[in-house]
Amino acid sequence: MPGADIKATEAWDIYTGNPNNIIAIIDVGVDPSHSDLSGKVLGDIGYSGRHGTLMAGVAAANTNNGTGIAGLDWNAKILSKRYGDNQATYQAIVDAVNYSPNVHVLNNSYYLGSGYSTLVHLAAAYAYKNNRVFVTGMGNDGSSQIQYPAAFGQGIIAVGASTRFDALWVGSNTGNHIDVVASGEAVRTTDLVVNNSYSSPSGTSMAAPYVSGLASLLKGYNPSLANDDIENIIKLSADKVPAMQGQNFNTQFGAGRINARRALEYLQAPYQLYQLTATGGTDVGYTNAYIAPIYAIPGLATANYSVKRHEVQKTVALPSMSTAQVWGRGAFTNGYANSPSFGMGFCEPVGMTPTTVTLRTYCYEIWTINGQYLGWYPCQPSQVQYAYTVWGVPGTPPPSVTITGITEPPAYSFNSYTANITNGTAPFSYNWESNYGTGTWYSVGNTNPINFGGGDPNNYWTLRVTVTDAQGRQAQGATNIYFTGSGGPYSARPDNIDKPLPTVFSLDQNYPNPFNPSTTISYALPKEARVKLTVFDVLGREVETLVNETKSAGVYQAVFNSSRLSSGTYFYRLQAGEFVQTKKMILAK
Amino acid sequence: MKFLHQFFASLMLTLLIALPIYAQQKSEVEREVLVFFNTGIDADAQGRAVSLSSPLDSVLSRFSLDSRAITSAFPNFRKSDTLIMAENRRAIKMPDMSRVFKIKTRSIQERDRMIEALKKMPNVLFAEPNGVCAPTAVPNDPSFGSQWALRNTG
Repeated sequence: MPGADIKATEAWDIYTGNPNNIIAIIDVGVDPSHSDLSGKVLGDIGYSGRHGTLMAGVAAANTNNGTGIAGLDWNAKILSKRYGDNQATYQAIVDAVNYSPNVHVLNNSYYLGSGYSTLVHLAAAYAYKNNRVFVTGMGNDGSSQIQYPAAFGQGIIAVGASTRFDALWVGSNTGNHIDVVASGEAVRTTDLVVNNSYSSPSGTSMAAPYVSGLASLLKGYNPSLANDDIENIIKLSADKVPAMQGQNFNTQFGAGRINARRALEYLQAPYQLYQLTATGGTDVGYTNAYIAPIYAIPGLATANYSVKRHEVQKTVALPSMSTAQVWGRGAFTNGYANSPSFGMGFCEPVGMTPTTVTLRTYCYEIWTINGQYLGWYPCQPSQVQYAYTVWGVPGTPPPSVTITGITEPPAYSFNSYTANITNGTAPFSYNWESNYGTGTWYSVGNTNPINFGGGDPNNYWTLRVTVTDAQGRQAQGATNIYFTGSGGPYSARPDNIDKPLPTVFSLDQNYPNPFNPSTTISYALPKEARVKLTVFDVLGREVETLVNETKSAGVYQAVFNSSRLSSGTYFYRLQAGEFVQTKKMILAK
Repeated sequence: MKFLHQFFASLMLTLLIALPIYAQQKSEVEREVLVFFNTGIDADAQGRAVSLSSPLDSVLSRFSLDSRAITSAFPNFRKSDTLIMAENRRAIKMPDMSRVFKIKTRSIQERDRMIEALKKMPNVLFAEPNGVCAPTAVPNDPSFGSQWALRNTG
């Protein structure tokens, strides 16, 4: 089916790989004499296993050599390390990491026959902390059977297998821990000479090295990427297959079928990837002391400890982005995961606004089992360091809107309601509606007053505005308008509700003028400003400061009450940022 | 799905029959326990267990085993390697793998009882069955000739 592939040929128009980079194939050995693999196999080359040879071809077979097949990363070297029992598998992973800093990706197309293993998990954590990408298959039971290392969690890219029709391959295991799917049915790849050098096996084993090859391409294209950056770009760029029915994630396909072309495009303009850091935070809550084994925290001997986990959060400003995605880079964060056992750095976003993101990590207070206090690890919350990545298209964040205006209007009054927009791209269009509790929204304008006939002071209308910016992004704000007097009928006629954000600073003439005893002064701010609105008498003495605070862009009103003053001429002055203007008003008692 | 399970079960069976040596190794490995002792045991230069604590001695004797059943799982581990400076300029601590030992038992049942007994000891950080890794691929018709995954033109 056209479109159901991983877009490799399109990806190769952008990039084909870095010959210095190495993909570790943790497997049963790779045939170094295969013509499609010649000159690129390192490591345990004395063993040419079949399964590892299948993996190597998918990830990085020599390409454009006139024979055979194409690996996804044309140029990467292959490091062959052999698994076995859990102890041998631990050693193979650690040895692959230690082999060279150029081993950026580890392909692990196997499952642990004895289920979860702390030992192998320690090895995977070691790879993660060293900023390596750990790719594995979901397993081939065709069920929700949990297999490891796929279900280890943080730092693992768990890959399911899809078919040429973007359906799930019949054997592909499912679960919440799945990240993406890649082609895993009848995948043509390198095989041993006894199998005619090529074959087309199926399995999540076959899907995983596509992701390994893609991870290697991304790292070659942008060497500064962290392992978490690579995982997130692969997930974000994945195609949502039809069976996902519009969801961003499901337990069969994860984030979808990988798209190599789009993954590389996501590292190019107009997209920007910012690797940022932040320090400190607020201790938002902690656990009771509990016992945990700690294997790998610097400064602590491997042992059981009594620990208290403190959740630490910090809210930071986002760069100006029209579509920001945020994720943590645990390998560069010193705060720990929600278990301290493996010493894995951890950072995750827990909340976002268009302009800010709140990050989470954990600090631990630690005691020996005998109750001796050892202190904070890695440090106190005020010093913890977060590493996070913001990715997206630079530009203004999407708009948000609030409504200002009188919420308890007098009967038969004329009132101005203003939509105060932050962010978004001008010009904006507005749609004002109201609802008096029936669930039906009626269009509201200058000529459509909100009428209320009853005398029940608890009743109210809801006025809402939907704002659309120049890029078609929408935001909605609402306010309730209460009719608090007894009797009626009431009518609050919204005036000027379609007025867009002011473009210049201005100070209007007070209304009414002359006045007794009170008058309203309107002013407009095209952007956020420190505002001071002061009333003076004719001798220049300050009578009253009506406003003295920072306000966001919008149109505002201040009411001046003169009941304790005598008749005469007064002045009011607006200072808003650089803008200063003074106007005259007359009090006539 | 039941059919599928039977299919894979029979596939595994075929592999086991075809690979009797592998099967023998697998059954031997599956009777092994991997255990992290914080204290209470050491290994000599040959990887043999020495200086067993008396609680550990008594656990072993309950299974009619002695120190000969225990060997160091990582006899070549160098303690000086436990702290490294990573590419990201952060200190990374390697667990002290010289504390991981392997205990050979006689059956799966004995292995499981041994794990339960070890987990109750305060100086044990983990005790788990050893196992053998298995590939997650199903070979099929080698004459099926296309790399559709890379570019699917229909």
